[in-house]
Amino acid sequence: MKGKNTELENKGWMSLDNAAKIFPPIISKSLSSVFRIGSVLSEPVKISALNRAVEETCQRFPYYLTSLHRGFFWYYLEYDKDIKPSVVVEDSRPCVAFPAKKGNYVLFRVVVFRNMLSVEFLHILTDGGGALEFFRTLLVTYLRNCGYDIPYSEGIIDPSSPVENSETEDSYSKYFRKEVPFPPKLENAWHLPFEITEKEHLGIIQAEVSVIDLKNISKENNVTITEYLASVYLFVLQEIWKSEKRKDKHILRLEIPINMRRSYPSKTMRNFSLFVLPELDLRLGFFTFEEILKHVHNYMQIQTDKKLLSKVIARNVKPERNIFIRTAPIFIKDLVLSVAFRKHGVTKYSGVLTNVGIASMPLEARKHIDNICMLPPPPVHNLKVSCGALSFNDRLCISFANKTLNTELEREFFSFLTGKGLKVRILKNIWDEK
Amino acid sequence: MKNRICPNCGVILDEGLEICPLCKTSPEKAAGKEDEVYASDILHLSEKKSRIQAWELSAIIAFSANLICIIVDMVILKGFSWSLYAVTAITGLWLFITSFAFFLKRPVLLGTSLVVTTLSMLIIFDLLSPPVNWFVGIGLPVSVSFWILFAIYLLILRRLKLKGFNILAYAFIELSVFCIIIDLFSDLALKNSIVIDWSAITAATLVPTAGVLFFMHYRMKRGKDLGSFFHV
Repeated sequence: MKGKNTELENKGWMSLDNAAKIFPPIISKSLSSVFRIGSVLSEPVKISALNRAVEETCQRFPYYLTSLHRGFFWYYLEYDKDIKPSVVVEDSRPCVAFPAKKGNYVLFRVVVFRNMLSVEFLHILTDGGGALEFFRTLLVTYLRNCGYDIPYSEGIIDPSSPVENSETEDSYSKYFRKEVPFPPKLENAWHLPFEITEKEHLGIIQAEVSVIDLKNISKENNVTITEYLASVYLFVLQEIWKSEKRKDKHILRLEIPINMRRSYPSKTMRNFSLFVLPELDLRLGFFTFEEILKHVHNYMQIQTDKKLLSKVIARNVKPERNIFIRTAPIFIKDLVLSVAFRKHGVTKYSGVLTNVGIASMPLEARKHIDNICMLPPPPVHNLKVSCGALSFNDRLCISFANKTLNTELEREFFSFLTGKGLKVRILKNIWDEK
Repeated sequence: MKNRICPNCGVILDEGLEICPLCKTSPEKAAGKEDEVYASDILHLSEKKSRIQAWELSAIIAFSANLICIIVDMVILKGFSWSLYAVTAITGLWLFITSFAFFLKRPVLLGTSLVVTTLSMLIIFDLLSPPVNWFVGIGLPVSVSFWILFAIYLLILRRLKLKGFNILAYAFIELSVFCIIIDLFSDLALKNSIVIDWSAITAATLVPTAGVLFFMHYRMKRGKDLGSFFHV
């Protein structure tokens, strides 16, 4: 049962959270900033049941029923209870841009095709953590509408539960402390040398690995699964670096988003993640895989410390509190942010690895779901490839989104895993069919 | 209960759903894609055919009406007098219908043919009513201005995402401009000097009204207060 109106419903709008503020000036057709969480079900999607599930789920997540608007000083999200997300058929490629700046468009969509049910979110609305919560509720509600008796367990939000105001808070601002210093500046990183030949191309390669096997191998090396995958990624980047002729940059750095809800008692369903950036400085010489594992593990242990993360919050939030920045008209902010993004945005890291975590589902639901995967936003500019991972039912789905036609990184990455004795099952790619 | 699968989207359609809500086609049509192509072709043909049939009918009516006017004029006044005005008006009207019948989906051609027809009608009316020569001084600039303003208005309407009071506001502004143009060219043609008088009063009334309408429209669109727009 829906309780009294939330602050958002009464106020009618909310300002963008700190992480979302960068997106409006930079998003475009080629830089969609849209990511996806999708599942393959055991049977084709029943559209009536899905439409009802979307409606019920949206009522519980009213803060996603918002559209982007341009104010005089800042962009903001306008709430409209009558606004509806699109339920669309799979496009020729995933994560296509939303016409976010053109008016009253909801910034997420539900995508279906045969047995596939996915949600795609523009990063302005939320991060992987928020999207996963929405998706889990949608999936269970859908299965219930199909007639299956599935409880809202495993921490899944019941659509009839009351909405809490804390779900819409800007946790970056809440946990910002002005006395905290900024983290040190970083050198620019090396980028993959692959050439983008087709501007519209986005190659998707997805594979599944047993979580138990991966956990075992990670445990043997005294690292976590994310640390292990990050080490493989960096090792593969190093191998590609070795074969490149132009070696003007020596830093291989990986951007790994961290779900801040694990470090702070935040219930926000909006963006609340930061990045850690483990790196290899090849001026020190090449690293063996074992050295990379040790390096990444130690780095992650230190950098994910709450105190050090608060430095990153301080660096991100402090500028937006500045009175001169706040009162600058939006067109100036647009200009400055888009220039800043071009200059600093992806120059600091060589690759992205997003591990959203575990998509826990009730036991009764698992037999109706074949897999759940996460697709990261299409990589931007010189980044070329991005990687996302999500675990469900003892299987880790690893997805690569690649803007080039060169699949060396993916090939090397999965070959490395198979070389370590892990079984890697490459999933059938629906977009190649289309 | 028998569920059908949409061959386009691969989703199951519940009983009673005749058309897939995603691709908007019925599963039967989508299954026989060949048939679907032919069916839509036939639909397009019949639509075009019925438009041409309506145009043919309008041609017969226009021709008959012209003929009747000329005969009556000749029988009663023994020559061509008022019937020339009637024939010009009826032919002009039929040319408008012709433009819509053939250029409905080609806005540039449609617009051009409407402008040419209007100007041709005005020239003929001007030639039929000597000695006052009003076409070049007033008819041409006013009608051209009208079509330009009309085209701008249509363009604005197409670009507007949310339509409401703003449609009326744009119309008021364009009307003000049009009044000023009429005032300007009629002054030039009749007095050989420019004194913007009555159109200024019209504009002074219409423009603030348009402003109020714009405010109402965009304020309503933005929500309950302007805090969202001006939040710092």
